[in-house]
Amino acid sequence: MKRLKTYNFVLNKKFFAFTLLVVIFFASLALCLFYRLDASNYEIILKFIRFPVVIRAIVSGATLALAGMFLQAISKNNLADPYLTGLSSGAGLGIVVSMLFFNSSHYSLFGFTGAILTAFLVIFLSGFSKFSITKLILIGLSVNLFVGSIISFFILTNPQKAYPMTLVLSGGFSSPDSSEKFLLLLFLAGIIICGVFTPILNLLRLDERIVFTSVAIRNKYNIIFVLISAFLTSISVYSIGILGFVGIICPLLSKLLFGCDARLLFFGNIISGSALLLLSTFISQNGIFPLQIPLGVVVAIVGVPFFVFFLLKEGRL
Amino acid sequence: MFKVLTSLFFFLLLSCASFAQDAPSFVSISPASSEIMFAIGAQDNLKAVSSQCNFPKEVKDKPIIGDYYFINESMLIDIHPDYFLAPDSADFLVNKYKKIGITPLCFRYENINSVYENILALGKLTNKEKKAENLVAQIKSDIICAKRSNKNKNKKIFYVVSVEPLRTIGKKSFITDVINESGNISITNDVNNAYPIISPEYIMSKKPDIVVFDYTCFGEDKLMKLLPNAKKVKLTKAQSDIINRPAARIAESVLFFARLGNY
Repeated sequence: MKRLKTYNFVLNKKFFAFTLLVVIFFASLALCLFYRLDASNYEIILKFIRFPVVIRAIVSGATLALAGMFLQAISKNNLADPYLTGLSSGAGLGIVVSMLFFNSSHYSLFGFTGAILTAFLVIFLSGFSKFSITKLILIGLSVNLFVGSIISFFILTNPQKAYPMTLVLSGGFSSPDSSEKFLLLLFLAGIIICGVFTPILNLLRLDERIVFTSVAIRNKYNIIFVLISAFLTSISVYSIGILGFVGIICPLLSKLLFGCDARLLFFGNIISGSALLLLSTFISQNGIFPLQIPLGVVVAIVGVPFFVFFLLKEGRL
Repeated sequence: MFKVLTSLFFFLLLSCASFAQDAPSFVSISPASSEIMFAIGAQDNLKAVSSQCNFPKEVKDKPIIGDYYFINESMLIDIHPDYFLAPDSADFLVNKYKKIGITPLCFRYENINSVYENILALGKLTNKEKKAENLVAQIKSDIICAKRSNKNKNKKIFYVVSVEPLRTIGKKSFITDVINESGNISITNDVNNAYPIISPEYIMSKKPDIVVFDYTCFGEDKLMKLLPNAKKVKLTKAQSDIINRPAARIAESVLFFARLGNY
């Protein structure tokens, strides 16, 4: 009997999926760190290039996937994206301003500030007492369009820097200047906050009118979740720039693999997000070495087949 | 009398038209082509330029028709030039003007020889063949002089187009050819691309002696973290837009890299 139980446990779909993701995670981690390592100056390469890259990939993958999970849960919409609240355009404006007016290489910090400020603006405009998700999405969309056109104006009026700016905006930083210690501190804070609030997400699976005694309490939780996801997305901007797609695909993939329990999804998202980004980082750096492929491009190429495979296999979300 | 006058008027009009055919008019959104037009003395044929054209000084007296992204089309139709000079990356933008009888000329610049070819082609179109030939001969002799001034040859040069993302020059960039002509070596001359995004580890393994930043490049301090022998590497910035412009001043560009060899 006992044997049979163990046997069932091994065959358990969730356990199998989790093991698969962990294997992909560690395999990509090892490849990112040690593949084609130059023996003569391996210390410098590991310290200055590979460790920071690996840390950034893990941090941004995990934060984007978690942010996507929160937003998809509160909006009850599988297409919700971490950049829903106008964050991508805010971060983009920060990066463009830093490149144009400060001639600085501190894009990460400018992007982070831009993202946080835009998120606050959007949440503020959505109103606290009369908050609703639809309003948030519409205001986020308007801010995205408005700030997006400012970015286009800056790019078009500065043709000399247009190409680097477009590259940075489209597919993430290739060499961000964010300090790893500060990044890890932010990441830790984000994960702890997420861990505290994740069990409450399970309540949102039920009808809100049953769960919450008043609209005010429901709105309070919604605003808290939007703030958490904005904070997480800004951390990802700080670490790797604007990277679409991960925030939609990882929460959906985790849902397919692990079901709907938010506590399981929390770990599932962390591992699937970071595994996807580690694998993509490895391919983007070594696919056509010594040339580099922008990370955003690789994420889509790696992520879509995975996602479609599981979607077809499972059939429903 | 009226008939005589009208026929005289038409005769004048026709002669004007035939005169115009002899000296075709040009519009240029390529700073390099504008520079060549001035260098071969065909500046009068150049009717309008782009906002990026900045050499020689007189180019600023010409009306501005736009840049790589926007072209003032009503102005273009008013001028109705015979030829439209554009960089090869902008051919998608100007090819549509073929329909209204404006021939786009998108010159390719893959090496110094193609610069010579472009100068001669523009000389031929503007009936300034001799001047163009003289200019090419002058550039060739200047390049030979520049190469001689490089005493310690074969310095390894890493040319940085932009730091974020890390872009450099590859086999197909004319700057690689300029560095070769100066007697030095571009460490990325085997990368099969014009302006590739390159891996920092690849640069580390090649151990450059000199790092040259493009004048539009920024964030140089960031790159220094990546180079192991950063203290020994000489850093320099291409001061103006001579280096990244495949035009009449290309010999100065060769001289710039040749002087780096003496470091």
